[in-house]
Amino acid sequence: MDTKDLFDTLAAEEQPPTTVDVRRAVAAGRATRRRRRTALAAGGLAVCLAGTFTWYGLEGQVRGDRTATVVHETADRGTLPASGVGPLSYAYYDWCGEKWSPGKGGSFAGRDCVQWKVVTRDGRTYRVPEAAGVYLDQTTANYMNTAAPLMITPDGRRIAYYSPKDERFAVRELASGQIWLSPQTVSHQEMVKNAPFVTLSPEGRYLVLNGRLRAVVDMETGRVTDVPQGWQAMTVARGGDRVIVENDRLRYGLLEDGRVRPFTGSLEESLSPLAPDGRTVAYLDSPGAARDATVQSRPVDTIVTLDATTGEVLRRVKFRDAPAGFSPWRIGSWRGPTEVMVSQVVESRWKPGETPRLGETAYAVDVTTGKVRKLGTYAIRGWSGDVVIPGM
Amino acid sequence: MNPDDEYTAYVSGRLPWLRRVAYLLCQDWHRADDLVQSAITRLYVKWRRARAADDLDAYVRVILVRVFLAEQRGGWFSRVRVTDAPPAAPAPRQNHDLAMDLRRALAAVPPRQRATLVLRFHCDLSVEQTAHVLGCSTGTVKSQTARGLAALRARLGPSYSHESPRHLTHTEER
Repeated sequence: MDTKDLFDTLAAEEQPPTTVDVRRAVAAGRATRRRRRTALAAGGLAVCLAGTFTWYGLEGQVRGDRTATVVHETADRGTLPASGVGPLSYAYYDWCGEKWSPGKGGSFAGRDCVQWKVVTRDGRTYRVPEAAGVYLDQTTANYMNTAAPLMITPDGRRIAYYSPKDERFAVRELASGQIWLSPQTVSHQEMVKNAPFVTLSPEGRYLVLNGRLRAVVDMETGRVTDVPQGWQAMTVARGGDRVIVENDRLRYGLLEDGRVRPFTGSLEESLSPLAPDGRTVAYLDSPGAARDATVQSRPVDTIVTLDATTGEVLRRVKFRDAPAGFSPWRIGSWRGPTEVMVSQVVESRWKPGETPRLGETAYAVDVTTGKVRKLGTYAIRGWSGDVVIPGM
Repeated sequence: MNPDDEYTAYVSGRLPWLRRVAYLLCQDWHRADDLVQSAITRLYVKWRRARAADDLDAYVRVILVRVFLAEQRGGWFSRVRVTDAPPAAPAPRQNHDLAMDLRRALAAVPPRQRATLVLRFHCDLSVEQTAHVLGCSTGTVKSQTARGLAALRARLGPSYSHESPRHLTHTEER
């Protein structure tokens, strides 16, 4: 008997009745998806008294914590001016601040308040009607795909969104008002069905298109770089020449000059974009076992940096000076050579009769020392919605 | 067909195959069901991405093997309880003794080596494909294969002789 025979013998055993339950998997999977999405979908925006910044220590217990929680009470919901708009602080949609039942978005049809809204650093809020917002034609089957994506560059000066009028993705420079459209078209039906996401390079020139399109687009020239078969682009570096890609086997790689150099080993964590040095990437890690959708594990406590040209670990550093309960759930862009943004879901205590406060708190983590620094909290009063922070 | 229907149809169709691979990994049908339950739950979460994969079976196999290996690491994991019902009685087997011996021998092989052997000799994956699934180098696959085979030889004695499949080289088995 050889090894093949051994396995064939065991595999040929008659299978006993199974206890595997597909419906249970669907239910558990839905709950996991819901937790993940509503963590942000539950994200919201807080208090932004026009021009008035109030200092709270709501989330952080960091020594000397003096970060702002911006709360908007007076709405200036005009549409985004054609030009002359300053850098953004964040963007959000909030289902008009009303309760929403998954799969029943159609009841909000015809209302402007389902559009994406952007808030400038000086506290002005504008609707963005040319960007697709909440999907009103969702069904109970695709309710997890709540709205079209919107992304803000780390400097807050450009946004990327899906333009339903053009059936293309668009990048808009807020100050000049210039809009660049992607060469590829994507139907609204495809957006609703497949939930493609977009990512911008730090300067907002290169747009990553995922899913069927699988390309990196230089929005200023229209030049399209296809991503090799089997890989999906995740982030693109400043200048557009280096792209972090991922394949079906949870392996990352660096796409450069048309060639993918896979990292050594696989990685289930989300990677940051490339650092300003063009070769370092970071991810959040927890001690002990890998995090898994179906199991409990320890909270994240470490920031790990990798050399994207080899996939080798450069440094593992434990968080330092983190506030009590610090548990970032995703990683974003770099704020300098050694600081990367992470964010944590706002957990507010809900009181009966009150609209919940939902959103995210952004922090900067120094990848060389592990030092954690709070940047700010972005939250809305609402029952569900989404908050987008520049560079996250 | 909506994505949920697609998922249900796929998983229902591939359930026997998934259970068989899981069983070879752990040699216990109840535990195999736990592994499959965890794997398909995770597959549901990633279904949108999985259904776009070039090889969906390979995608699911990666999930299953990693669920198995993650569970081996133990410590921080809580097993997913798949049912409240008592365990089903094992099915009758034609050659109970032989199967028992084989299971014991395989169980004596460390989990990662066992996963390597299952992928190579049951799933017929190449060294490179196995390295992809396990997230390791081809060199590691070769050494794990050699050690796993040696462990089987030690357990099964003269009744066992490993012959190289065509895609194995002599070097790999040293």
